[in-house]
Amino acid sequence: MGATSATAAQEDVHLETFDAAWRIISETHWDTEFNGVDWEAVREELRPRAAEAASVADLRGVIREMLNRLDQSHFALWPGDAIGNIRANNGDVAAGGGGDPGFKVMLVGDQFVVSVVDPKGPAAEVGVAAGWMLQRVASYEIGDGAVLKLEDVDEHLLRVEAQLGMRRRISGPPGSTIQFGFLDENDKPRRVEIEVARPAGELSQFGNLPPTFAALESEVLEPDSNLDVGVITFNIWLPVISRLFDEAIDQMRHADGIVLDLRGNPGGLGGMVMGIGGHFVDENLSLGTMQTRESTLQFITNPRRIDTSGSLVEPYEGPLAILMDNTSASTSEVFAGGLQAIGRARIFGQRSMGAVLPSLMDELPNGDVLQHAFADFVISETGVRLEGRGVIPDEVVDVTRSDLLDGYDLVLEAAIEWIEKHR
Amino acid sequence: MHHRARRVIAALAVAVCIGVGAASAVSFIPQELLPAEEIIARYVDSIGGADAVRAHSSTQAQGTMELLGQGIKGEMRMYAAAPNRVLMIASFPDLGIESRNGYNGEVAWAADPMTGERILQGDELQQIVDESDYYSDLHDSSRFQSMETLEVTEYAGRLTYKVKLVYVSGRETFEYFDVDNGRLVGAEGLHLSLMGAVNVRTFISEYREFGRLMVPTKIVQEIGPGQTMQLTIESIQFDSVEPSTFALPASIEALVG
Repeated sequence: MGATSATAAQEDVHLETFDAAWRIISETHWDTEFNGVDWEAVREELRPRAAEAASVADLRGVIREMLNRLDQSHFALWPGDAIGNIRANNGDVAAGGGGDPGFKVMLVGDQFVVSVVDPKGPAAEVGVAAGWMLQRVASYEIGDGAVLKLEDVDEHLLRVEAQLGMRRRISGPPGSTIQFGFLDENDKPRRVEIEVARPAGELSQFGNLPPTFAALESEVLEPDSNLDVGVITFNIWLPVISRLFDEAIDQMRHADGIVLDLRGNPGGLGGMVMGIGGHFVDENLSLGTMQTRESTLQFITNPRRIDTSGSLVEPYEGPLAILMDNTSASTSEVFAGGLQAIGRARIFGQRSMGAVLPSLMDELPNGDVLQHAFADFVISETGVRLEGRGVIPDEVVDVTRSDLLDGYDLVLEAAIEWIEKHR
Repeated sequence: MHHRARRVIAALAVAVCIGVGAASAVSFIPQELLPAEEIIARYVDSIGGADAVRAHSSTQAQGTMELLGQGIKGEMRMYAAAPNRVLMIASFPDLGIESRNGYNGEVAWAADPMTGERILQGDELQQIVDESDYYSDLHDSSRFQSMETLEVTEYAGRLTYKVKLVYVSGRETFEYFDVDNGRLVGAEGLHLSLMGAVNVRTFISEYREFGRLMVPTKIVQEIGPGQTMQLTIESIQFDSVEPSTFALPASIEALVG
């Protein structure tokens, strides 16, 4: 009797959760045609399976199948228990990933190659160097299968998925140890054990999203005695970054050019493009248009004429280069695509992810969190939809392993070269 | 003051709406539409009467705000003073940001870490000029081109008079007054922000007595699909706001030049 009651109660929660997820999208999706999907039929088909789900995992599978039917970015189900664990551990991720191994990888051809090594991080301590080819992560052998080969699926998307998946694999919980296998600069196999570190930056939380470490680094490079180039790199668009960005800009107002490195930046709070963009334009210009069911809103730049000391300044007028790769997404694409379209920035690197739909995070009855896009997005200047397309660089820069081994960052160098010519 | 609330909440999902008055609920079933002026008069009576409204010259309110379902919560402080000064401070500790919006009777401004400082101009400025009257609950006829009762309709689960208000500037807004007790239960209209215009539906409830006035302590605003902000007023003090509260921040002063 008790077991029966529990099952009935579980079924109620499952149905309530499924219905809530379906209804939220039904009421808020900007396209009343649901991207060509018969949304009512999806409900009729999947609701019985939600009712019969034997576990929370099964229910999540059903809801994710429902979301996948839309075939659009920014529809996702975040497990409530995972988010709870992250919060309880103050960001020391207990539910998979989040730590920093001290290196980043990128796809070079069909292989993952170390692109950046933090000189103060755990990977550097054990001798990992840029250009090393990643072959193994714990028990996962990469082999020739770094990128899936699937007919009828855009290769760009497959490469994006591969890189996102690898980013998760190499970032275990802080304090955990992961064994990695590499081919070094002489193609000699190397096995190293790395204790994953707590990420740099400030722990920040935006609503129902899991807490995230937000970090910004900036420096003024002097490639030669006559050239100063400011470089700003940040890992996510969260409000805590804004003040750091303002301070960084203050340090490079007189630079010959500025480089914003958005490689690997997955996005964040869309509204931030108005303030960050305002550091580089002297007008209220629209970077993008957000179309909901009921309204049309624009990301308008707010020219930044006050520095962090409260003094009057002019927005930066020098050359602006933005670096992107396949994993630059969402707000990063809105920002770069918008500035590119109005001719204010030149984009270097690789085509971005193409996942730009504005989304909300709603808590569901069972505690899971539904991420759902509620608006379409186009570049205001051109009308181009970035969803599924991404930002196309003005200068596509192909990176080779030998360049990385030699310590070159060809994308950054291309940007600096352009700045030198156009300062 | 509910006018100010609609404006600021939508601006960053933050603002305050404090109606003023004391109750004199009169129950009746409408046989015909009442003139707008009569509906406004009933409303003023329902919150305490014109004398009670005019008895104060400044208000300070504190409370909380929440973007419902999104896990975003903050605290808000609102200051207002006659004739038309206002300051709204919204802080979101989890996000590490504090947003400020103000109007000193001449300059309307906004400052938050994400968009930076700015002076409101054009339609945005006009909006705050229209809505900043400290005694806005009295609906001074000189501020409107017209007031018209459109219909009796259900709003927020109550039978209401829907009144169309057209400011002298030409801006339109719609207010809903409870047929039964005369109180304002909601409003609807376009809200202007840096990003453009969005239709905002406001639901006003849970009136509580503060001094001689009845003030709504729960204000819910639907700001586009899936975005609902709830303000809860926890405390109100009258006539204790220092004039210096409305002084322009140094950065805004610099922008004004």
